Amino acid sequence: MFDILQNMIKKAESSGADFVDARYDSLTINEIVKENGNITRFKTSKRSGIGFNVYYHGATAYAFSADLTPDALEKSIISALKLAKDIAPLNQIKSEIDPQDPIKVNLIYNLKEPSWLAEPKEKLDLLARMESSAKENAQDIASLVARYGEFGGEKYFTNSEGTEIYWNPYLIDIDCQISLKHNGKLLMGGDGRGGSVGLEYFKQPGLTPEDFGKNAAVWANEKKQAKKTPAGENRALIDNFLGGVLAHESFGHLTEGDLVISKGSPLHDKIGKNLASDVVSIIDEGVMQVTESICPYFLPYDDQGTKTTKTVLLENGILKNFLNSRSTAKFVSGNLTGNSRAIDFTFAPIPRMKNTYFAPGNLKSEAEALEQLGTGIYVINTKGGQVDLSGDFMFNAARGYYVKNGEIQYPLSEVSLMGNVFDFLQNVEALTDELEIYSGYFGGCGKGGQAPLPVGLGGPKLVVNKVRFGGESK
Amino acid sequence: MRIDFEDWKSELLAKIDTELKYGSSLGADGVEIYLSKTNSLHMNFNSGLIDVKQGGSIGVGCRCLSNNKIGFASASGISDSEIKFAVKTALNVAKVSQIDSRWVSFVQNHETGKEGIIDTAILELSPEEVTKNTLAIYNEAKKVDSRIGAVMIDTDVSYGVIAVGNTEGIAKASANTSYEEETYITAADKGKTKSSIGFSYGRKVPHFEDEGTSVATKAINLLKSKPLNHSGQIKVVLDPMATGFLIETALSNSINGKSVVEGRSAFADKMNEQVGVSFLNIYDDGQLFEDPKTHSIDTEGFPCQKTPIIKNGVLQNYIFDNYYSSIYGSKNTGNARRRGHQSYESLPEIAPNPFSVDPDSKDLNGLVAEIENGILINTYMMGLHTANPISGEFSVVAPYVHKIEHGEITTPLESITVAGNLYEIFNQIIAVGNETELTPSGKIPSMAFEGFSISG
Repeated sequence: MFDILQNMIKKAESSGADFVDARYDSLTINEIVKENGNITRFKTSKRSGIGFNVYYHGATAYAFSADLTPDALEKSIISALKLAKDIAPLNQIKSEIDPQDPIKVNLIYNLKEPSWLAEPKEKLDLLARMESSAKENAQDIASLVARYGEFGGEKYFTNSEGTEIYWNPYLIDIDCQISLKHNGKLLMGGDGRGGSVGLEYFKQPGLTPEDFGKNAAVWANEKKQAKKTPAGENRALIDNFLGGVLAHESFGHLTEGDLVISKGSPLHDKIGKNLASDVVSIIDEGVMQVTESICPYFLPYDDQGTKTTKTVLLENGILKNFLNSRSTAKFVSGNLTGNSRAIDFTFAPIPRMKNTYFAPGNLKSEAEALEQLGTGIYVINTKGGQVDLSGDFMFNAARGYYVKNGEIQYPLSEVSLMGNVFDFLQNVEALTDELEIYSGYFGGCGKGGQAPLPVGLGGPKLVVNKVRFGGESK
Repeated sequence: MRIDFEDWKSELLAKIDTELKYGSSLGADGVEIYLSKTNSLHMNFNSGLIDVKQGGSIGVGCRCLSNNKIGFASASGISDSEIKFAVKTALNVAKVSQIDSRWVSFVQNHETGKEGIIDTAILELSPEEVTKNTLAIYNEAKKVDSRIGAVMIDTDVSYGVIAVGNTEGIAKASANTSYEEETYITAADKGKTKSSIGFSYGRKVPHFEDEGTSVATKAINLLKSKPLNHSGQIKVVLDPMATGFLIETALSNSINGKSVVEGRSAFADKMNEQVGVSFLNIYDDGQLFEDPKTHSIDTEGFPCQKTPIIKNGVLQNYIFDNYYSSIYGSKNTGNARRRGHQSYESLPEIAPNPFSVDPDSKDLNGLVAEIENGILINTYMMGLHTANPISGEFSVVAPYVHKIEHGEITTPLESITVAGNLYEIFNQIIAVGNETELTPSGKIPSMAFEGFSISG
């Protein structure tokens, strides 16, 4: 494959290209969805193709092809070169890169039980166990959805410098969503886990399909006792997952190099400035050691052949770094961070996050965090939300509890929180000392039409003052 | 470059014919093959930084039936070996799946709907022209005010053909062309940043007169925004884009035949009942010829049609694909969609077509003129998709808002929160506008509502 790609690179160079990145991505995707006991989706997809990013006089252009015949590839790379030549005279910000020494990498996965080698029967069995556990723990089930998703494959990267990188991306996800009928309303609960792990991960205590099914049922069931969320400003304890979503969605995107260069991000001129309370640090990292609580996405190299780093974005409240591709790193005189990523061969890489998380703090336990919270709202997980480039956010939590004097009192029904991330970050008082990281096949990050790109996110629990909660219509 | 869609259609249909025979020869009880072939040009302009890409997305999705068990497989590419891989894998998946006692058959209907507008200018559009259109918007925007910050312009031009065939004897193909453009502009002053958005959406190359000027001016005006300092129920007018998102969110689950069958639709027991005001008429419009999503067939090969959903305020129809229409005992409405930018990787699922709404008598200013004290909401409400699809409760943020005082649009406002219930909105309409616009949700007029809880 490297020979085929290098042949094409030579052809483009001899026709005038300044530099070429070439990729071959091949993924096999397996997905099983059961709804109320019926299999409603059982599929296998093979997604393979080649993409060329061609640099010409400060312009870059991308072309891709699923057709791997030599003629189609040549047509593709020449069309990218033509695009770049067309754009070059009109381009106002030059896209340039500093030279790097070539590297050769051949990184084979190291897993006990790779999911893509398991029989379909084994995957159906995981879902069946999750379903029975959910059913044992809930009555009045209106709907029960059990999902299994996985991909595994190969990535080849090479470029004009002669770098050659081969590695295996992989990701697995299992989850359970349940809704119960109660007084004419449907109450929802869900649990699951995903990341770059093998099937052995789901044999650990607390992380089995039985645990996910039971939690989904219990969390839906407890909403029978739920009361209304007190609207307006409250103190809040934000759980590890929702904290990670905030770090990623409302802060992380603003550190992405393309938005920094165009000044679309309000952070473009804020390196070295204080943006958060001094207990807050935010990190973006490519490769993390898997543990029971840390279930990241494995990303050793980005799609421009840069080794991923542990990138400190915020350190004790001070903005330290942006997330870069090779061209944005040159433009902002920043570090190469390995954040140039594409979702598949049909897209050019753009600055995207890796595993993004709040660094742990000093609170020793959930109990200590609740004590620090005093009276307020404990917000857990999210069903979705929306953010914009000003840092404004709106999230709908999956669960919430009212807390009085450090004690959980009762569950809350609809919990939505909103505000501006920069106020939020200044209002963080304390963080717990543990770290949880989540990733998954279902869900992911969206940007520039590329969704869902696998990422990881998480952190500790955060005690935050003055969080605005939305009211309900009645 | 000359593209002949008829050649593309013939090429895909010939492959379908061959590979259906291959599936049958392997012993499948039924086979459905879906092929899609799309060319696209995408340009992202980020305040002077241009990213551009071009390519052909092409692939196969196959459903196989074996002893009333269904399997699906897909592959990128449509060479013989790729299609054969999909057919063979789908059959193997079917063999290890469960018996589906509700399965009846693949689509048997031999008719087709009408094709949408095909704009050959899109097929010949060069990257230079797209770049020039983009730069014109940028230069206009920059001239408006020195406080203009980022200007981001995203353009997606695509055209393609889908083809579906199955062992019930159907083989059909349909083409479309699409031009989508979004301009996002920020304005910054004294530590405050505001933004504004403009869209162009259709099957033809649009004219971008004043787009840069108008979006930039809106962003600058928002810098003057003040807090509402009020909470309570107040009348609101939504522009076509914001109305479209609201209607689409309210209907996409409630009229979905699958949700109805499974008891997850708020409208499950409302058929032939009054769900909205008597002057409201909404259609699921699979034959909106200017909308880029329109095809002559859905992704199972059923003819696309215009289905009345709410007529004179009364709920008339749910939307169905082949599978759920037979379970519910209703007619198929041609609403099988395959999601994603590589649609061949997805199984067909029920999803709405673009909506269309019968216009009434007043324009936007006319709607505003009727309101003594109210709010104008432009573009969209943030987080509407997080509304509880079952109970319908929503609590969202509207970022682009103006005050309405004595029948006129006045001060721009800081973002407000808006709370309500998706399934009550149709009864809360006080007026429907007369100027429909093609939005990503369909062809929609402005609307005025009462009874939403506003806070800001």
